[in-house]
Amino acid sequence: MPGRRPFEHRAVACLSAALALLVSAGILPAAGQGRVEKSFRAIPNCRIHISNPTGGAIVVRGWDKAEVHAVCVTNSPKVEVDSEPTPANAEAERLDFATHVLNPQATLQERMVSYELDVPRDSNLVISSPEGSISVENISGDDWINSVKAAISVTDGAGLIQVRSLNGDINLVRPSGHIEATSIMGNLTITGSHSQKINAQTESGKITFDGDFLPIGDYLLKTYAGDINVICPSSDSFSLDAQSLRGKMDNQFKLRRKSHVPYSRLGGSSSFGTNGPGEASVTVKSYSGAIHMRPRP
Amino acid sequence: MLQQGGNGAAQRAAAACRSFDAQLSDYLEGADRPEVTTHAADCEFCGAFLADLLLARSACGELPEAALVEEPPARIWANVRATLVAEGLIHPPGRQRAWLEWLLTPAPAAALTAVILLSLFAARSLVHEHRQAVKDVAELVVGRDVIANVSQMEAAFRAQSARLNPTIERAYEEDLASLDGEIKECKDTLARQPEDDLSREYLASAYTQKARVLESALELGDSDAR
Repeated sequence: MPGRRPFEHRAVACLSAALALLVSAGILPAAGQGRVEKSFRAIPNCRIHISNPTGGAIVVRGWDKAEVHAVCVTNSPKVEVDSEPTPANAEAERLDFATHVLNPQATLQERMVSYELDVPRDSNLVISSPEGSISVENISGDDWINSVKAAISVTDGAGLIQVRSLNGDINLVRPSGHIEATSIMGNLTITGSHSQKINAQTESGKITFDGDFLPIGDYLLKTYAGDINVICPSSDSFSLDAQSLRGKMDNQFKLRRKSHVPYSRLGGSSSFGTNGPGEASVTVKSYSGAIHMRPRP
Repeated sequence: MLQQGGNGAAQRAAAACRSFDAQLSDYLEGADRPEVTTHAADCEFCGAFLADLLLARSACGELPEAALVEEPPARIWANVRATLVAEGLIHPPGRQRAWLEWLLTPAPAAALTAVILLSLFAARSLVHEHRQAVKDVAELVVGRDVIANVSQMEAAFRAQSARLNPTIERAYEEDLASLDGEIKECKDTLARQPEDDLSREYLASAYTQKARVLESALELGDSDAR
């Protein structure tokens, strides 16, 4: 700008950079965006529902306070977030967050809303969002998460974890609760597992399991066309029933064969026997994918 | 879930096809059999088969009679025979020539046509039976009601899929295409190997997943419409 001094140039540049940083960090909303920040006192094991039918990023973290702190950013004034505690004038037993489109002419981008919540660790979550991303961390209550194509990540979940993303990948890190994870096209990855019950199924995605098979645990890993990779300590005690009708079987465990093999396990590639005393029940099935089972080095 | 239900419509269709088969020869020989043409108009498969037969008969009729009775020049047979004998592929006397001569007389030519027609007939029956077996095995494994319900849900989804966000609609379409491929593969395997437990399990599972995908799509379509 003609006539402006170098000092002023530097000040404008610094201010612009600071604003950009604040926007990108989500502290300030970008042009057209709206930001809503709210806090609610909550009872133990409160239920939190997030319904975000227009999609966007959702992050929920467990903390030790008996309080829910929510930051919601709307992409435009054409969409809004309702937050409703029940009961209305006391510690919340249930909290509902919902996205509503105010203007039907809003574009897909303008409809998006992101949620960032800190909630009591023992909260029970119900999250529904068709797309975007969903991340849940450090929750000991139950999680029910449903999506069409969002990538879902649950870290250190200790309660019942029911997750479904039809086309998105599901990533479960250090889970210790019961797991029900299903997808059609997405990959399922379970790492550092200490869960006693897992039911993981996808049709064309891959399944990767890296964790422990606990005694009296019950595990089902099943795909139609995707490969299945299983890694666990060689000392784990489990009874294995693995079968792929058209895929390859690569089992590096030295199983003790059972006295009889069921007739239904005779077709395709199969591996049937016990590792150690065979306490956990492990079923691994694929129709046309390969199955790899390796002891952890 | 195993259901031992019959399929009345399929059985009726199969009976009509059998009746068509029984009357076809008479029809082709010129007898008045209106049921044949009526059924051919109703049944795509039988209609196509009848059209093939009529075309084959027509083609045979267009062959000049001379082509069926005229013997090739003697020098051609002599050369062919000499070559085949020299290569040790045949031994004199030339039985192949006698066979060809026999084949090219009018009566064997008609017999050959009949064999071709019968082969077409047998192939058609096999394909028809295979198609029926594929349908039956799906009904046995999954249950006719489930198949009907999934079809209804799919029709409802098609009717309202335009309400969905296009990227979400595409995701559902991909899921359904994947599951349809799975269903087809399992059905085909079971038609060949009905005792294959894993294919039965995956077929039932694919229908269940398809119902869930459609349920999800219909719910989301409803919420978008609101």
